[in-house]
Amino acid sequence: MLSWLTSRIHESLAVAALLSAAVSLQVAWIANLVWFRMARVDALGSLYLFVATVYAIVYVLTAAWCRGRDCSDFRDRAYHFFLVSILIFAAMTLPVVYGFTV
Amino acid sequence: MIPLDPTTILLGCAMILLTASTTLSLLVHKNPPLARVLFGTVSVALLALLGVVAVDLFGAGIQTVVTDQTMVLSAVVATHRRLLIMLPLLLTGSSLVILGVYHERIAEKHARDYRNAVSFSTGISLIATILIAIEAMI
Repeated sequence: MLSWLTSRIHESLAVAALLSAAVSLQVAWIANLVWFRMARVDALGSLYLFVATVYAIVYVLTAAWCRGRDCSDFRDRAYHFFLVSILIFAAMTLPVVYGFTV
Repeated sequence: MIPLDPTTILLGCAMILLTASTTLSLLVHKNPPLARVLFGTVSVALLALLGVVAVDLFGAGIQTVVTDQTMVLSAVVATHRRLLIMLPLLLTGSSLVILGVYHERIAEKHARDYRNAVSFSTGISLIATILIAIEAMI
């Protein structure tokens, strides 16, 4: 009787996961630069909490916005943004990058 | 008696699980029932990574011996690995959500982007975890 519930795919949740991960990675490397400039490298717990909060907020907002909509076009863009965000995060969290001084 | 470093044990577990997850994610499109096993391995890997963060934040790990020659390098890699741990955490968390949404239907044609995202996430998480483990030894 409940098989119609499990047969539907809630793609809004999946695309929200991709987008929120991408946004969180971008926020993480930017926040890391700020934390480093403010000499708060010992307070990384607050950085983790900040990134987790951003993830949760973006996830809820994206899932709510995508609910009931056709996500097929948004899926491609979210996926490519996700890939680019990973590359940018990996590059911008290298010590030689965030530790640069003029 | 040799003291066991909880960070090393948890990173080792995470590496094994992420290796299995990466392999399973590449095979799931040919064998959809593997999606359940993949969900299990990714979830336990995520728990192991959260354990690494918890050990580090509460200072329960064994302090490495630092010499004058390696002091600067140790400080630099310590900061880098504490930043880098966010990458596998976010990627495995997102993979878990995607697998939870799609279940065995992730093998279908329309889910190609999500299947690739899960494969890429587990692979990158594995590389990041290996890098973190190496830096933890310095």
